[in-house]
Amino acid sequence: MSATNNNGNTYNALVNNLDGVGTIAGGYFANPVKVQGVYTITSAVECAGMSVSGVVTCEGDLTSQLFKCSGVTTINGNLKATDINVSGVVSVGGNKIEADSIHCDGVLRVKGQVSADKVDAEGFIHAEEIVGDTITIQSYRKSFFFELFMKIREAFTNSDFSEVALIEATTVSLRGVNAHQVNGHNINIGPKCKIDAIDCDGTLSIDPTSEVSQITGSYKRI
Amino acid sequence: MAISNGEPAVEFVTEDSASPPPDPTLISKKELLAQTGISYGQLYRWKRDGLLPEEWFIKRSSFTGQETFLPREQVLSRVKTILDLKDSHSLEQLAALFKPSEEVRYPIDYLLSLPGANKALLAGLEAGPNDDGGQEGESGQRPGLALSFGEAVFVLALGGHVGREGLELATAVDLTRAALPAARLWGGESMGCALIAAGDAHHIIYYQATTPPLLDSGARLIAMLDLPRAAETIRMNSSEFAERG
Repeated sequence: MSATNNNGNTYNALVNNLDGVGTIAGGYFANPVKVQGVYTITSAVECAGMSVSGVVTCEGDLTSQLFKCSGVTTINGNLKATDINVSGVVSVGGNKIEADSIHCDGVLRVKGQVSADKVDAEGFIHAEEIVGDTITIQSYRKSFFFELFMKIREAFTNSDFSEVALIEATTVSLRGVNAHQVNGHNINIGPKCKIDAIDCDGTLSIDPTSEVSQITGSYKRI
Repeated sequence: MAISNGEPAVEFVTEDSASPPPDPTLISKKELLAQTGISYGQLYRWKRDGLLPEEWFIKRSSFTGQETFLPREQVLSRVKTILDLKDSHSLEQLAALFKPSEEVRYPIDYLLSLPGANKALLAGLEAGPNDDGGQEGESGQRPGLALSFGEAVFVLALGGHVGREGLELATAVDLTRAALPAARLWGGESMGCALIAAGDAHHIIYYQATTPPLLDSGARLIAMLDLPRAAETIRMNSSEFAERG
């Protein structure tokens, strides 16, 4: 089934399953949208919810209440949702991802800023900045297979672990993250991190396997 | 110079040695947090919800890389307003308050009730010959003059300067009439407004707040109008106004 459509909320109101291969115009989707096929959305889209287990490319902004991706999503604009749940791969070409809460087991990539009250990532986040209230990124797991996977990955790409220029939040907890600057009130740097500079005015803990070059602020080391 | 766990911090950079703000009208994000006691989480939540406009976040490079600055007066007064109201209003209500819709009109009577309103200026504006200024249908519906948000902010801010610095009431009324079309287009706190004089004539200039106007030697800067404070006064009082009407 393919659907090519240029105008209309009436049509969009009926769409809730995108199976097969096709192209569809954006606009407002009254029903939650489920993408299981391979789809291109040609303009900005706003919907009550979107769940992607196939492959979707959105050529504008994507605004949704719940956004769930276990497939592959490419968004050329910005992504804004109340809840974002990524177990696949999401690449955002615009300059921001905004949400109340982000959970990421997969890979989340954005050129600019990720801003959310709560970021909880066990996968990988590549962003210029990640800011919010509570940020937890655990890109490192202590297991033989994980380390082997990382070595192989490192051999093929330049980037190992999650890479971020700035992480700034009230509470920050990291494992296996490379960051230039980390600012926060309470900061916990777990194993295998490389941080150039930390500014902390609450409590700070640093795992011995992590490298931190500079620390500023009136923090209390625990 | 990596720090291994257990050792005391080798480098401790105090506040004093941090780079000074490039400009006294700006406040660094860190200083803002320290002064107001809000957290990073609150700051970014308010930014996402539109309580703090995105254009207030100005990135400047500093010796540590990049630092974000905000317009000092505006952000401090906005944060104070939010902290005062956040227990009685939801964030959506506050966002709506800070972004008044285009359609809202403020009658002269309402403006007269505001603290700091110049009653003579408002009365002059209402009484004066409206025939010259309002050809463009603006005077079509006129059971009493009502101003848009931008206009109301301008009139309130200019009011404080009438009778001072050689600005007579009659001149101020004419000047206001001439400036209203520009005031209507005021693009929020990213724009400032200056009162200048060229010879005997007074003029109003709106400019991008990040780059204050540069004037030639024939023109003289009389005053910078404090639009943010006027806007804040109107907003603070307009929640009651909206409930009434």
